[in-house]
Amino acid sequence: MATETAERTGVFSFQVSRADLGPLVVDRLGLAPGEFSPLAPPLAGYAKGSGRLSAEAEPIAQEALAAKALRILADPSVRLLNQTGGGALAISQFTACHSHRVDPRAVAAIHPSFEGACLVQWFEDMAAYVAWWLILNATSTRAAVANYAPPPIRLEALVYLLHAVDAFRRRAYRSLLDYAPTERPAIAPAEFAESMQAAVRSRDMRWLLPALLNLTPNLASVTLEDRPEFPQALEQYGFLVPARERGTGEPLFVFGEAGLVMGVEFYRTWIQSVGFEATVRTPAGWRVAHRGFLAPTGLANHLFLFETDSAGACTVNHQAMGRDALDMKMMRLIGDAVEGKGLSAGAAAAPAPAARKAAARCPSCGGEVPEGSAFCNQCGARLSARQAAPAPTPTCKQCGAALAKGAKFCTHCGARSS
Amino acid sequence: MASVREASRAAFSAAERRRILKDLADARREMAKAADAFNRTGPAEAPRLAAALDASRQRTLDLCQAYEAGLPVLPLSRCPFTGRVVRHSLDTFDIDGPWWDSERPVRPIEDLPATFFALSGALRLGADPPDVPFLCRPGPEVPFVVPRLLAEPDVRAVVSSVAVGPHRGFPVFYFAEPTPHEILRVDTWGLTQYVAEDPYGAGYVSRSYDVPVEFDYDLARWIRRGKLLWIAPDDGTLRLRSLVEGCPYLDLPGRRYPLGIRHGEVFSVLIATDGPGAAPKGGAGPR
Repeated sequence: MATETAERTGVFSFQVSRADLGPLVVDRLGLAPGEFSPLAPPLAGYAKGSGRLSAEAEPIAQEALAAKALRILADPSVRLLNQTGGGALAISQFTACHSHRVDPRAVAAIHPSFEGACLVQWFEDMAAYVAWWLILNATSTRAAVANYAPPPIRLEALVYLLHAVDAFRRRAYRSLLDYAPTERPAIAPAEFAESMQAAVRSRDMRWLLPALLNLTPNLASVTLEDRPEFPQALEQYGFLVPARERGTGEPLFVFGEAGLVMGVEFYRTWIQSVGFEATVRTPAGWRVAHRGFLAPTGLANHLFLFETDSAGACTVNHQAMGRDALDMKMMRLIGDAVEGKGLSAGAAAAPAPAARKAAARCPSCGGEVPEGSAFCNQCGARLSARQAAPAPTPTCKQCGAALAKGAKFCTHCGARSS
Repeated sequence: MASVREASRAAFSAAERRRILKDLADARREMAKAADAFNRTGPAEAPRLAAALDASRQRTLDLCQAYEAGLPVLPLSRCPFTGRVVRHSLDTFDIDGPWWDSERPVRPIEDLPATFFALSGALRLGADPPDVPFLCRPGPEVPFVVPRLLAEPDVRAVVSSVAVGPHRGFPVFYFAEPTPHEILRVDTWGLTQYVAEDPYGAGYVSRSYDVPVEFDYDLARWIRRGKLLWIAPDDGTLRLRSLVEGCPYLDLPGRRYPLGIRHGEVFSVLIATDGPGAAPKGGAGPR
């Protein structure tokens, strides 16, 4: 019955409790999820034969499509990590996988924390997966809108522009609270700078900038430079224009054409976002195929694709797309990943804990910052070479990989940390 | 953003270009004379005259190749889909070179990105046009867009500006992702045809026509819709801009019809029509 439905719709879903996952995957199906399988973390520490499959899970064990989905997840050749949240939604994560060895067409996805269990999905092909992904994450708009941040744009400059979009919302809320409508919203430079630091530090996904920085996988590891040209992007791209307050002559930023249009657009119609990253298994290790962030609004699907060059500079390709264009773009991105095209050169895809350098510590908040950063990406404080001192990094006793602070399990080999 | 305005190869100097153009004009005259003599000769003289004709033809070809090799190849635009800089050949010295000859153009094969769709353009005359024997069709004097191209959901255009001797050129590059193969494009700037690839990668030649519906000079409307972006004159970084405010290409003075220029005379090559669906009629102006 489930198979008939799946053949008609191209999608098959089932839920399995954490307690049943080990008996199902390891004992019944005889699978041994590899280190980069999304099944590895929930199965960490499970010993073969140590559990018993419940009666509720027995039908799943009999279902051929369930077995296919789990086989793909256990042995992926392409991994598509998605982190959704932002706006009004809580953060959640799911990973979709493709496996050349198991099935050249199908895609499987796992949501490890869905209503207290794991939700697993099987898609008959890439088109079915992308169609579902768009329903989940994109807006249905078809009309073209102006792209106020056309490519290429440095990530550092984009940070300023997105905070300008958030700043418009701040001003809109302020004018509401003060019962002071205004035709020409403005913001003081000091408030802009302070609120940007707070935004970076906050990880509050209700705002666009923190949502981009924290939902996009591994974007926090990019080293941000500090150059005068980056804040100049505010005026160059028409987001904020320097002005003087009438009467006092105090410096102000007035919202320009881009700041007003995008400010209103996001203030009124932005609900959620998704950050995503595709990594591909190659003979030389895992490589990043693409990394992006999608912020849909009532007017457009704002797609941001990130590329890091060999010097560590991150450039962004931003497009404001209709639904059809986004559909084709995502098909092409994932198709290229499956075919191994356009992979990043150099170091293996993050996370590769054993390959990371020891992180420095911010003297202001104590957070970990990538070595060589000019600013702390936790609190926004300016760093110098003297201030950011390397700190000792805990390592896994089993495989030697670096451990995140407070980690109970190694994300590299799954071993419990002491 | 770093400046990308430098030409990608060393172009000929003004003096070298002048010499090539003079020699090319002489060679073409010689070839015409040789062809005329060959056509009127009898069998006895034919081999000698054929050899002379072949020699002058080869010399003409060699000079065309020298001109083509010396043309500047400039960064003129940027793709709004990929951010990639687009380089294109252009005779920036004046409009008297065979790059601007709409009847016998001499242009290299361009290295263009996969998202390139078409190149149109305009040129505002900054001085009296040169006395050239060929028909130069540099477009109107005011930049325009082709509405039916921008009506395609996957097509966007970028307008920029470049000096062409004493004149000002306004190339308008059209980009598409993905390429809508089934629609008619627009003649390449300065020519009466365009070259494209079909979905199977085979090249083909086609042409559009200079009818009024092909020219929309209201650029602000297309910028607001997100279909047209612009690059500021003399912006070495070729940064794409989407704002109507501050756009230097709006409401420019100049003739708003496609120009024909021959022997220093300027006239309209707009094909007048009687309304939608009517067959185009009329043609070029005085010769």
